Amino acid sequence: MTATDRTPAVEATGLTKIYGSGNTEVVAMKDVSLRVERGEVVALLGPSGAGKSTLLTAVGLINPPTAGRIVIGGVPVLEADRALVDLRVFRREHLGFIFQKANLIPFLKAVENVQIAMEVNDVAPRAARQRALELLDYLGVADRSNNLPDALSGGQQQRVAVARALANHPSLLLADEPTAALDSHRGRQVMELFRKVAHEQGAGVIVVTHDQRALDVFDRTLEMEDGRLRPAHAKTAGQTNSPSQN
Amino acid sequence: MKTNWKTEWKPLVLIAGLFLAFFYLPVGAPRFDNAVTDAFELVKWYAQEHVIVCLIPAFFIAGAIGVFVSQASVMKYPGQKANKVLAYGVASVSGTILAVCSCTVLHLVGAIPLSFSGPGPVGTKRKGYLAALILGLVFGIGLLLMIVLGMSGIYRGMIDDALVVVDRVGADLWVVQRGTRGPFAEISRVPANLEHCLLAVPGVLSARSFVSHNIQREHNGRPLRINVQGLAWPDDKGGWLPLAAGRPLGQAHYEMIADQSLGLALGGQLELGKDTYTVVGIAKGMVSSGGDGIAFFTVHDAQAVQFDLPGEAIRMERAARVRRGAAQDVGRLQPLLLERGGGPASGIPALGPAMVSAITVRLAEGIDSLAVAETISAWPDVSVHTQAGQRELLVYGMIDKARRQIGLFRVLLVIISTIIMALILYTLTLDKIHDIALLKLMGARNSMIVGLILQQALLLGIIGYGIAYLLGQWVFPKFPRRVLITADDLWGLAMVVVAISFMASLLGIWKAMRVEPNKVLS
Repeated sequence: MTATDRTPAVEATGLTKIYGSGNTEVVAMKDVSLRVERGEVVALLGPSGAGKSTLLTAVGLINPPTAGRIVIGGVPVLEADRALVDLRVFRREHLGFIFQKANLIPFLKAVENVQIAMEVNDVAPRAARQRALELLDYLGVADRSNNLPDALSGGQQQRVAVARALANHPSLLLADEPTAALDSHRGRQVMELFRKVAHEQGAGVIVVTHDQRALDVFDRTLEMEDGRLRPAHAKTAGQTNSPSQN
Repeated sequence: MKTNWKTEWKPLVLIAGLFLAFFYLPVGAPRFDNAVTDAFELVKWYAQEHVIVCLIPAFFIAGAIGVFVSQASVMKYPGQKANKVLAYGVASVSGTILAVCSCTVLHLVGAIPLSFSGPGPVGTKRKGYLAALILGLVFGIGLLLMIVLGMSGIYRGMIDDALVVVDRVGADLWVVQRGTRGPFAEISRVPANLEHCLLAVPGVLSARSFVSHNIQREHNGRPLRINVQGLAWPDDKGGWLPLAAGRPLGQAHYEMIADQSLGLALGGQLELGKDTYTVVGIAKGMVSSGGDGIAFFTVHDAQAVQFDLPGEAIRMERAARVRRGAAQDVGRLQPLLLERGGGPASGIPALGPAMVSAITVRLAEGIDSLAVAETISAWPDVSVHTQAGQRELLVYGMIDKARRQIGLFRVLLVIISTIIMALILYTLTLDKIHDIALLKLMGARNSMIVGLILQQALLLGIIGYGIAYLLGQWVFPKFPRRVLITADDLWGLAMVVVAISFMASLLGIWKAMRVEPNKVLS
């Protein structure tokens, strides 16, 4: 898969997730369909318990749906809870994850935290280090590459986490509340970073967020409620008020 | 008043149980009485020795760490950001200062988190506590492994001590009292003149008297246990002994060569029986199987020490001999015999020669020792053991129980070490559940995660082994008995440590394999 592919970053159809059975049955997600193009940044809004994380983990291949089909980068990967590929291998080669907390490994330096994502994918250590340094430079934290996570600010940690997510040239980036632990200024910086990454790296980006202040950064905004997905906005970043206009 | 049985039955059963226990208390039964006495003796020993020597210093050190060592200094040296070479140096030096047993380590480790109680996030405190706890446990493992190594060394030392005389004497055959296993296993008495008979056997090159017995005397206000060995003067002057100082025996009487473990000074004098002996040589490594230092005398002096009687007892025995002789025809008809009866026993051939413990025999080159042994064994008053036979008797007879007990103790310690390591690794794994989930989310193979845990286990094992080795080098020479560590033992323990590390990591691996990638989201 390359950035020039015409295939969507992800195409999910009819996703349903049911926990438990009988009296304890809970429908967390019902008949959700989603298509995210390469280079597109999509925000996923909704109250707690609406099913946002369920959708994200299903698309992230860590919590398979009860029904539905997921195609990532043109490759069918899940048919209901049946894996069509080795999910672990597919995750490491095609997906990138970013979380509310940066989740950096505390005893590894910033550059090593990025490097490990590539070493997991059998990239030679020297090449992995080189790319890790390039990514940290690209994201503006090259000067902190030899620092342990404790020595980095929240925003810097999140940038390192983004670098780690980008390490293996993913076709799809999934972010779960990535700015919840940051102030509004840094939160906005991270959101803009996603747009930059999506546009320049050609990856599709889905961001679960509660942060209403930076919605203008997204190409599209979707909303989940009671396990169902519906469009909240349909606008492009260029058409809305940019940070400079605020 | 109505009794509420639902609540009252418990105290009633307790009272009845206590009554029955006291009713049948086996006071007077030796086993019970010994158990009670031993329990109090152990408590007394613990109070007098362990509390004073270990616990109180540990409390002081723990207090000092808690008060004087700041969080910053702990983080500066053994912390995550510390220079590794500096951290190793600090850990090595503090390791020698804090070299105490496992029960005192708990107080020391307990003190370390106190220094983390300054301002800072709770997570840092918890991690600091965990790191300190793990450091303490690794230190404890090191101590356990040191004891395993020490047990092995005590076992080797025991065998080496037991065999040192047999090997050094270098006899081909040991001729002992009929039906006995020789002087190292039990009392053996053979006439000293047996050596002349043995010299007549074809193939025998030399035959020498061997005397061995233990004595305990007061010396400089403390008990001194000596294993007395007789050298067949003038053929044997002890020239074969490994001497640290001095010389072999130079005269037939009143000289001795003492092992250095006896603590006797060269040129010093020791009164034994009615005679005073001068230490003319200090031997090294000459210890009996019981752990007592050996002192070498001439056979006659060794016998004099062994058969020493008070003057009054000798006078009474001589008078009794005279009376017995006078009451018999032989005494009345031979006045000279009666006269001799009142003198030293050595002047009366009929009373027989002095007895020795054994006769050691050396054979001429090329002579079949088994054939000669068979010839001598045909004599009705003696038994013959080859040198290999004596060695076997010592190893599988005399020290067999101690050997097996030590072996069992080692196995138990290895099991305990494995359990402790498994718990440490499990704790470490629990602490890294989030990181493991993250690695799984990134698509890391199980083999990679297993490899990380195994590496961690091996690292713990290697550190524990290093602590055991270094502490052992310092502690073992201070043991009252010789601790002999061979290269085989070191390699053996290294293999055991590797095996322990693998076994102990299984619990952590099991936990890691059960971690779901979505755990990273929680």
